Amino acid sequence: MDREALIEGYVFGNLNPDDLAKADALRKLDVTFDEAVTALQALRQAIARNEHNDIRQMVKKFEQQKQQASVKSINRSIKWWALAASLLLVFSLAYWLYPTGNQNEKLYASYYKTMPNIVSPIVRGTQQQDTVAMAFTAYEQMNYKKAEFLFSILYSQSKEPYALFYQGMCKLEMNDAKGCISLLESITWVNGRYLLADFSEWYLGLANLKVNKLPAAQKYLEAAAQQGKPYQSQASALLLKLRRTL
Amino acid sequence: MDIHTADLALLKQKNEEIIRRIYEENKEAFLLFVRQYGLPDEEVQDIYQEMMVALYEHAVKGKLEQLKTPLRTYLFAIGKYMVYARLKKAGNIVKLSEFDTAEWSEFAWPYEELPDKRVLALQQSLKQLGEKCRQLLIRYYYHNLTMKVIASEMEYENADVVKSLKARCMKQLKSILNSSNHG
Repeated sequence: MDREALIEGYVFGNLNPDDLAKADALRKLDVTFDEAVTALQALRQAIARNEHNDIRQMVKKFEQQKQQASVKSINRSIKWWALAASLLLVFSLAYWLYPTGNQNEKLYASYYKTMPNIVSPIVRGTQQQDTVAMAFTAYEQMNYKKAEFLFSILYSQSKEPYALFYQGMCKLEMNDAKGCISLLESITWVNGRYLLADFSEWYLGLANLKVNKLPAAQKYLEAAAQQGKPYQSQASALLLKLRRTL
Repeated sequence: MDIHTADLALLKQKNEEIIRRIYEENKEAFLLFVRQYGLPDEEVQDIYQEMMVALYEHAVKGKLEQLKTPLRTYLFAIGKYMVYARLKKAGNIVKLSEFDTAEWSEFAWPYEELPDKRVLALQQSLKQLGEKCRQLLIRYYYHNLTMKVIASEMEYENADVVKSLKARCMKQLKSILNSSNHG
């Protein structure tokens, strides 16, 4: 093996034991060999760092582009604001004079977003872990009927509160707000250590809004609007709108 | 989402479209997931971006070929380790025994410390190198590809052509490095 191959093999870590011993010895005895190894290690590190920085720049750009798109969208809409404001005034008057029955439904629709899967990692292995993976896969594929069934099985096997919570989310996705409320209200969140308990308050608020149970909706939204809760700002904004109508 | 072979190949090539897709598809769930650890939003964003880098690096190292879990699960595992590393650094470790296993060590954060001057100078010199030379060196020293594969990917006649080109590129790199050292 020539000198260059020995240096590269050493740096790539793919020398056989004999060549490795030879290279180790050369590093101690031959300054130029040792220097060449160090230089090549530095080069690999430099390339790795540049690659790392390239990806960082790329993902930062995604965020910047999103912000720019949002600013552009705002700018485009500014010229319509005057017109929209006057139309809004007319509609608002009509709205207050003749309130519509599905106002809460509209509010619900404007605030509702599908609960993402935040139960992770899912590791395949035991039968129960496979049910977890299957349930969340169905959920993420928006196959809520199947997911609901799997979460109910999972709950009967594990008694894990999250299974009941996601079963409730499936019901809400399938427009069964009453079913969702009944499931979510039946969960016992042990010691308040579950992050999902905070999400549950928000979704109970929304589900009660959907079925026009405003006092209950208000109660849950007030809990969800507390400092540090994941939907704090949305719950506060929704409460404000609700209080105007109560 | 699970990662398909074609997507994996694109990811290894640093394809912006596939990286953006993975980034967008998992961001919201990850941010919600990580909030339970009480880190500030800015830091959570930073971790998420660092996770994408780690994903790319793991793809290059061939760790995603035999992935047995959904990609999101794998991403979250990386993110969890990074959260742990941040909490540990801040002296804020509480009941995180779930992290205390050897498997997490593969998600170690490699670039916490500043590199030495030589590495920094090389990083700059690499940026001044011609695109073809840079791509060749990246493929050889970072992706660990053989001369034959590089010849095929970069459309050179054969491995010998790549070998002599690599020698020329290294010479150019040294020359840039020396001129910047003396400049």
